[in-house]
Amino acid sequence: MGVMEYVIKTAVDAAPQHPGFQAQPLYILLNLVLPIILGIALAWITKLIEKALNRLLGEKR
Amino acid sequence: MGATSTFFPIASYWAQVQGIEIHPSLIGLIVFGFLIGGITGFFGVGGRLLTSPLLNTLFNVPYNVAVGSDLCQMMGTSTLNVLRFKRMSRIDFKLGGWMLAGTIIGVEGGVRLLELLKKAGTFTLLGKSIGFLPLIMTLVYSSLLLWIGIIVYKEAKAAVQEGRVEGTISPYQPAMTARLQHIQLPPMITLPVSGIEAISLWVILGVGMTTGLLVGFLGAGGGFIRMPALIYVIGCPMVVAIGTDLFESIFSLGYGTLTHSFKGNIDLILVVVLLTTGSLGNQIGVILAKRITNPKVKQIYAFITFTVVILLVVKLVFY
Repeated sequence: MGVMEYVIKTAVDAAPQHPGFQAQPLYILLNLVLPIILGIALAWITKLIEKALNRLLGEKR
Repeated sequence: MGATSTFFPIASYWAQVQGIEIHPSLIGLIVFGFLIGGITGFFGVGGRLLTSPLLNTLFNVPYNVAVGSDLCQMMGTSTLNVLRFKRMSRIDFKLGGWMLAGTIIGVEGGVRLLELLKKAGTFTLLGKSIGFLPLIMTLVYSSLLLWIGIIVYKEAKAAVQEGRVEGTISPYQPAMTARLQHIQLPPMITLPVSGIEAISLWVILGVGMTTGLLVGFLGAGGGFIRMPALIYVIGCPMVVAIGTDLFESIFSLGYGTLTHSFKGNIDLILVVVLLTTGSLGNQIGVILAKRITNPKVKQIYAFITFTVVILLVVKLVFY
């Protein structure tokens, strides 16, 4: 939960309600890096799911 | 701050600014992300175009946050696709590079247009206050979804009549693509990797700008325009089209994410939820699509788009 809280806190830091709002460098960096890291992890996870489902349902094509 | 604003701080803030109340439940978004991913994986085209309008219609997420967050999560999807399909594709860097120049101009133009509408406020019509942003977005999304829905329906119907196993879906009509392909406006360039002897640079830049505009303004990945454009308009072989599309996606979505970040339009929690659930749903959709090859099923996508259009119009008029 610590990571989640940290991400939420970072997003709040970047909330544009603060006077003279400028996007925080960390917010921008996270927006760019987090999806890529998640994408890499998910590529691996979905490959495992594909293998498992194909084994379960029988290979097709 | 309430539970919603703690979890979705950026979405909550922009909703407050635009005078609307958001109601995204975490469970609702997980189910939503999974279904959208499943639709994209199953039908293979245009599924991502449904995300932003449905985020606004079902959960009241402001359009600027829906578009920005959708773009950001699609960057993750593109990374995933690059890793999954790198062996099946080849990139034409010359084509990709020129196209990217047009795409970046398009993305920036789209984001600026969205910003302009975000700050345009509201007007009163028949005693009802209507925001410029939801009005224009509803009109644009409805037109685009209707167009895609009609084409998919016609393609699927033709496939059923001709007894084809799978209906190929392309938003291009042959006559239109032939006209674009034969534009001889200089400078003409050669694309050896794609095996193209001469093509007008303006056609490539035009394709890039159109997809860029869709990326920046609507949060659509642009693949449903770019892939058929690469194959039918530019004339790339399939293997090069897949690779060049992936190359383009990564950079255009990256640039879109960057410029939306500067404007505070990305809600990271929304991104994480949509990316994770969408990818899992997508995988199941792809596996199901391999097993259900009846072209009649493609007609379901058309009905989904028509339903979304009705939802968008109902929300704009009655809520």
